[in-house]
Amino acid sequence: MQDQKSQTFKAKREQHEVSQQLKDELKKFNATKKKVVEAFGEGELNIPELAEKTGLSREEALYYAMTFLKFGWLKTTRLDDMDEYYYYKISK
Amino acid sequence: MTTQPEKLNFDVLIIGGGIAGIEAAINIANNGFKVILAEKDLTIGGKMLLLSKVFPTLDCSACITTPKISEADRHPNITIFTNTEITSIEKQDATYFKANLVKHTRFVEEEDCTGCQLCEEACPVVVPDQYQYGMVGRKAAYIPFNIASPRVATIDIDNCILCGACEKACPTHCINFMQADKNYRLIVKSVIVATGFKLFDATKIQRYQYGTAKNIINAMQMERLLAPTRPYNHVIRPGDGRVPDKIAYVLCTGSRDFTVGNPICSQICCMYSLKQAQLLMGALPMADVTIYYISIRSFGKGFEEFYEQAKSMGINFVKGKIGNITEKENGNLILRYEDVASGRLKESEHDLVVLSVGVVPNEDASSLFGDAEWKQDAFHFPLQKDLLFNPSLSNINGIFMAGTTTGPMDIPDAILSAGAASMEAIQYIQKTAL
Repeated sequence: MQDQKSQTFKAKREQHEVSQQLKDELKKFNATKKKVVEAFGEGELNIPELAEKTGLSREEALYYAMTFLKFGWLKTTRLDDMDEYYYYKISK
Repeated sequence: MTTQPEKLNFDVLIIGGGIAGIEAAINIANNGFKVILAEKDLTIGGKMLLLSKVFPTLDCSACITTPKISEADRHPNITIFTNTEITSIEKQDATYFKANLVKHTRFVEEEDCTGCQLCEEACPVVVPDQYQYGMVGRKAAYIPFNIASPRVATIDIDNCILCGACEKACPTHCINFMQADKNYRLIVKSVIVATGFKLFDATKIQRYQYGTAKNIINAMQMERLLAPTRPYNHVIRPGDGRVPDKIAYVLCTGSRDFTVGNPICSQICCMYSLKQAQLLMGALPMADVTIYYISIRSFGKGFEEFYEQAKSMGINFVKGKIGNITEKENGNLILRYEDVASGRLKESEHDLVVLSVGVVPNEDASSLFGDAEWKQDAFHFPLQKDLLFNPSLSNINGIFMAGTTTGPMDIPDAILSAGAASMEAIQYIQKTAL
């Protein structure tokens, strides 16, 4: 019964087609996630620095950074000396 | 795929699980009547659950709401249906109504879900989080937020890629992609409409650049930035993550404005703006906060003192209507306004602008009543048949209204209104039973 229940996504696939747009969006997200993780490396970055390293707009960089912070993939380290930008790093 | 309707009997159907709906449900249930509380969202609690604090006491909003939610949730006379849409309500005779409901599937067996969030962790899909007004992402398998009630996962099937990761990760095997919507046919003796209000869509005022300029947000987004369950780590600009130090509030955005079709005062915008400004002074002690207003309407108990407190904290007040807002290359905003005190046109630069958006009617319930016409007033709120002496009476006998369904009001007034509606409903049931 448990095996049957844990396979319901397969049965659903026969009824409900996943759009190409969704698949493309997932690919884009995974590529961006990789870029963000690589940009951080072992160091810390603020949002403008992350945007510059990844080629994302600052708005997008903030969206991804805050989403990753929410999921626990990033953590806040400090506020800069001018009290303008927070720095973030990859959470181990 | 839908199933045959299951038939259920209750004394009262309450439409809307915000604070007014919850309060009305508890009142009626405490008097021994059976209540069904139907909420279209995934959680009850409404907008109040998303607020940071309440005015003028600055009490934590969630701390006031969650005990009420908990009381409703465990009350033996209250049945709560979330993710539920009411499709029709028909008055049969003086004693009862027939209502049709669809409880939409979550693709999760609610009673088995422990809210462990392992499905959320496993899900690879990230989409904008509607409960954080798109400021961060959420997974396609998700719990709306930590204090959601019920704290049960949901699969957002429109964004799900059917990878099965959530189903494999679930320790209680409660995810079921074959789960279907469930139809219900209710017999109820009375109905309370507590569908609340909608926020004015600021994109309708194009000269304010909301939705175009990155550092212009509405007041509900600021509520989220100030709340403990906030989307960001601190109050920062959505355009670039910078800590703002010159913040402007634009009052009467979409209220007291004939040009956008909403000429009435929203009653809460002045006070929530004063509240947020005070909270910002706490969160960002070095920031300048300026409130641009037509007139400050601090009419309630303790409100004038709250206004005086805001002034004494150093919040700037400028009497003037904003003409337009333009965005600079660095994301800062130029506000052009008429300074009423000097009678001159002026410009001022800010790095974050908050639009204090008004209250507009939620007309979702207007199409539910079939042949019985649901009448509206001149401002598209439901008609109050006896505004002075029985403000919760609708034009349909046996249907009552609670909270901001009938017009703008603050939280204490919404709770009082819910008390009135619940007592009217009880009296109606008792009278028609004789």
